[in-house]
Amino acid sequence: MWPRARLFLQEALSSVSSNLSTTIAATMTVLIGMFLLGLFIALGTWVLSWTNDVKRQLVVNVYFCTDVTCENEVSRGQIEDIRSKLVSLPQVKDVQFISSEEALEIQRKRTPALVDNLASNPLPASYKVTPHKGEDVSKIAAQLEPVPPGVEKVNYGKKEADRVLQVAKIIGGIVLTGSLLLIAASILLISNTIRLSIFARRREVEVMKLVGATNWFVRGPFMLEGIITGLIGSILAVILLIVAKEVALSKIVERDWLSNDDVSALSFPLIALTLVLTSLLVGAAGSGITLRRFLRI
Amino acid sequence: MTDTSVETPVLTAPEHGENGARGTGTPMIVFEAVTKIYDPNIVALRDVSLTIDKGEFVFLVGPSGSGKSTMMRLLLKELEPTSGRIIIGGRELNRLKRSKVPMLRRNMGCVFQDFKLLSNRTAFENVAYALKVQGDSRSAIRTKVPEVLGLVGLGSKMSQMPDELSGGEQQRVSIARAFVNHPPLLICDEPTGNLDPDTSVGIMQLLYRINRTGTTVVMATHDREMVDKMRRRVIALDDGVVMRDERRGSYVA
Repeated sequence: MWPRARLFLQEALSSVSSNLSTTIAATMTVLIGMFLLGLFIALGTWVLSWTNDVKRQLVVNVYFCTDVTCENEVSRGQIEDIRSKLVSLPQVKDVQFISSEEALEIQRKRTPALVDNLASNPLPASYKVTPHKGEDVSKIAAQLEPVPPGVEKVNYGKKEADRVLQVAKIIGGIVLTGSLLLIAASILLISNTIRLSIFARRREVEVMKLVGATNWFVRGPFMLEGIITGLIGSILAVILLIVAKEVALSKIVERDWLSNDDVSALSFPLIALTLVLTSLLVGAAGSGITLRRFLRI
Repeated sequence: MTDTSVETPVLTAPEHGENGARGTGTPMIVFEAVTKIYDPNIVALRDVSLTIDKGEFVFLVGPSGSGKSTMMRLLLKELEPTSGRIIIGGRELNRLKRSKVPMLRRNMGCVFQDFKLLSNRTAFENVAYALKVQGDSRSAIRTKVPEVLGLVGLGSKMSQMPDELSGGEQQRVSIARAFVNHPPLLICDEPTGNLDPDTSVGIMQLLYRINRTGTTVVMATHDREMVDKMRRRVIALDDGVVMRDERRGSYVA
């Protein structure tokens, strides 16, 4: 098997160098296709991660009664009852108690002027309920319907939440269809270029077959050539992406806006690996499939 | 079919001897009522039956479209006959599995009017390819290729590309490629069709010498002068039918 592999490699390399212009054309096609795909994957996963982060900020607030808002102030027992009810819900990730004093502190940070003029603390104690998934806020709120005793109201920012979720859904859809389209387009583009280059050499295939080459003997070097083209093209694309990431991105976008640790694109090595593997596969399969019709001699 | 011996040649090797043009009496090629109809309704060969013996030199003559090239392509199993049987060296082509076709072709040299050389390879590499496909070692290639290129008179032009060679020289390369395995059968489809008369004579002498080593040569041609001069067996085709089959024939009856 080893001498055969070496022979294929020699054949492939000599064919690459003697068909340099088509090889360069195919490599450039891979480069462009994979660069765009990589850019889109990076951008797309970053946007998805950002929408996820926004979704994570969706919470359900359960405000307890004070003697001002209801007839009776909420009791310790009622607070505990509601906690155990909330914790038992499968959608709930975390329940955080915020006393009225803490609420005032938070409010003071946000609007100091408003808080300073208050005679007493009007803010109720509350539970901040974090769901596993942002989409579940309405379900959790529905579990507290009708409002249990001791609770003044349940609020999850219905309007904002619905809008955030809708936008997130649209963005997710765009990213998904976009990357599918781009994958399809680059596969078609690359395999079409390979097709053309093999089509130009179909006479060569015919001669090889008439001299007594087996199908695999013809196919081997061609597929290897496709792999080499894919490898070089995608590696160039990865290099270009690194340049784009290090140079362009840091200058275009303000750093602090990007420095949210919870928001990140798919890790770069993973993107690079995806691109290289995709091009290798398309290179090999594209050559192999295109050759099929010319091998029927 | 329990044929496990993949490496066994499909055809037996030629006996090197002086039985030359006369043939040995054992059949190399047998056509039994072969008919080939192309889609939709073009009859290329009509009920052709003939036998060509080992060691023979046979001219296949006839006007364009008479079925010569179809016969060549049937022999290479590039095409399948619509009906009838073709037997080469005792093997029935209809029964030959597709995976065995490369083996068949390695034991059969073929020379074409348009040379069919690999244009991006040197003369040496073109001949070497026929050895590489059957897995010959590099050292075997290094000895066999210069030898056969020397035989066809191109010993000094081995590293030339096909487009740097004249038509006659290109045809010599293709003959070298066809002969490098010393196949028992050589099929030539108008090998002198693109060459001037003087060059053609050289090519014919080469084919004649190959035939003298015991290789059966079947040659389709339009070259009337050549056929008349050589006085070998002539099979004349017209409209897919064998019109004439003479031991020492000429181009026209």
